[in-house]
Amino acid sequence: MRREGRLVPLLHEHARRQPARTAVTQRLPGGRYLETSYAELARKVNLFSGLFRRRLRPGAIIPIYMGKSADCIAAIYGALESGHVFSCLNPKFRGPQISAVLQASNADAALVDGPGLMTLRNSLSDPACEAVRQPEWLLLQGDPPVPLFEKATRELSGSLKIRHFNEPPAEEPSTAADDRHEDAHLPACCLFTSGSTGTPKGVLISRRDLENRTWAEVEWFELGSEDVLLSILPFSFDVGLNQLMTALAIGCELVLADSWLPADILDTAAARRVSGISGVPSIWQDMLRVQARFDTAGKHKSLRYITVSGGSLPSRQLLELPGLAPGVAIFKTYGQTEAFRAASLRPSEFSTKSESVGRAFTGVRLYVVNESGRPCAPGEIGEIVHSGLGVMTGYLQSADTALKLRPNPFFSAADSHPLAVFTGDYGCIDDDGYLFLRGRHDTMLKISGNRVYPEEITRQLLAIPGVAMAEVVGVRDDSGESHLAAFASLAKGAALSEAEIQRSLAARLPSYMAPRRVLLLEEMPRTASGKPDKQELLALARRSVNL
Amino acid sequence: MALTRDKLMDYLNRKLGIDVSEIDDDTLLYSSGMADSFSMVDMLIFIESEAGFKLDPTDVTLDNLDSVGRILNFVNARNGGQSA
Repeated sequence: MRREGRLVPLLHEHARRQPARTAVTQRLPGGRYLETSYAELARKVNLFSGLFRRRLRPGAIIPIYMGKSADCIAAIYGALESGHVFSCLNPKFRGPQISAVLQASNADAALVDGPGLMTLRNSLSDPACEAVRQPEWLLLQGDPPVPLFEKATRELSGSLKIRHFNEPPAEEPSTAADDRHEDAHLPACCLFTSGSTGTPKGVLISRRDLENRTWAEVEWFELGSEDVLLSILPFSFDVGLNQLMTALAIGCELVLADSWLPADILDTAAARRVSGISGVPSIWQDMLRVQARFDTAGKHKSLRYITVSGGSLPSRQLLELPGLAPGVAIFKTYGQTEAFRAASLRPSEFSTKSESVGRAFTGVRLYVVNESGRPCAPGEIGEIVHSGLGVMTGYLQSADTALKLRPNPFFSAADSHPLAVFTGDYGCIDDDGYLFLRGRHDTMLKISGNRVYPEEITRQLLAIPGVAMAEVVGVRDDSGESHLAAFASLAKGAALSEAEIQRSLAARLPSYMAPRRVLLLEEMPRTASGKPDKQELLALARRSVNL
Repeated sequence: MALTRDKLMDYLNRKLGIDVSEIDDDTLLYSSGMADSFSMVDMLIFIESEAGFKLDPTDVTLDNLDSVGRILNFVNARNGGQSA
């Protein structure tokens, strides 16, 4: 089995060697599954790359605002093949985030599906979402077409530039399946993630890094073409994206499922004989809470490994985790969009170091530095610094880059990477080289694996007419999960209810950013210096979110 | 207690931002992408608080909750069995 190589030529190679092998399986309503073979997927990739080459300027960013499907995957690989930059957007994004993405990426064209179009329609009346009118929207209609989406398309045709993505006629020349000439240092991908400035930030990832991180994961998880991987995370999330890349690099089957309900995960894993699942803590927490369990001696005997990625579990649940899937290997991983997979804990280390996120991932150098930039002693807490594999090439808006991506202070013969990511995460490394996370010094929260800056929610609260002041805080419950509480005070004469504010926010924010409670206050509590009194707000929040 | 269509519609609009004037009992909510699966746990909490009983979590699938009609059927079937 090859353990290296460029991602798109390899996909075409799999299509030649194992044309009928299932590449992508999508779980449909009613427990049915739609399979797409390697040959069919490769054919679709060519259609997309041809379209992108004909219609887009070289190197353009292509926002992909749609749910996971074989078409979505073909578009991603099509962009890789045509030398464009794909940008999988979180399907939960709403008008304001989409607008910010379109402005930042200056996209001429973007891909969208029916549900995405419905969301765009809801944001048309919002002047802050003007940028959704900017690109040509290439619409991928489902099969069979959904009347609701067709109606939305008709209604929108006057306001948005919509073009149906139709397969070109057969005589149209197909494109060469070879990206050999592409510069490996150019960006392949732009992932948008929550930013402290209140709008999503675009993180650029080079072609070479995307490829190397794929092969590093193949090696860690010991993937082979007989594997069947369950994809429950979105492609807009680096962990979900890398799982896709590894599956198609190794030539195995990827099963797409959107439901995080324990019963659905158990059912899909059994029905498709799944061998590996990449998950975030809240997925496993939900399963533990309802005492769901993989039957690894019976219908889940194909299950080989699971991952705990994008956040941590409290100690008690870490100890319960092996009971969820007896005999199954558990990988813990830690990273950021800007610094993919800094560390990973191998299954054999889980029993002795379960609280750790492990040691540096393949090709990564990890450091913990104190405030003066000096390396910390073992056990001493400082900021985590990451160089090597997984380091972004920069933010799309370059002004932010200099803070996060700095000259590598440990640049030497042993670490020849000129740049390092200062993660903003705090932690310590023990005598054995294992990394332990100890929180952050800024306001970033993790909600079900999603990174959330309360500033993004505050910004959308303030965009609601009638809201004069707004603050958002996160409260952690016993299981370590954060819940958001929002506080608003109204402008004079404004009459808004808490429910109305919640409704407005639901239309403006991804669901994981929607506060659990919105509280109206006559006046914001202030500290002596006049700043919002976060401690007072936190106390109010704790009482109101009923933890 | 019972989960009514009106309360469910209000929830879909208020918490999920769905324009309820456009959907009927058979419109697929989750598998169409109108509602995202992330919000499903919140939906379960809502259903339990309205219906006044606990759902068996190993029993709940996306298919059970994928449309207004299915949610009402699912809840009423269980309600009939438990508190009639």
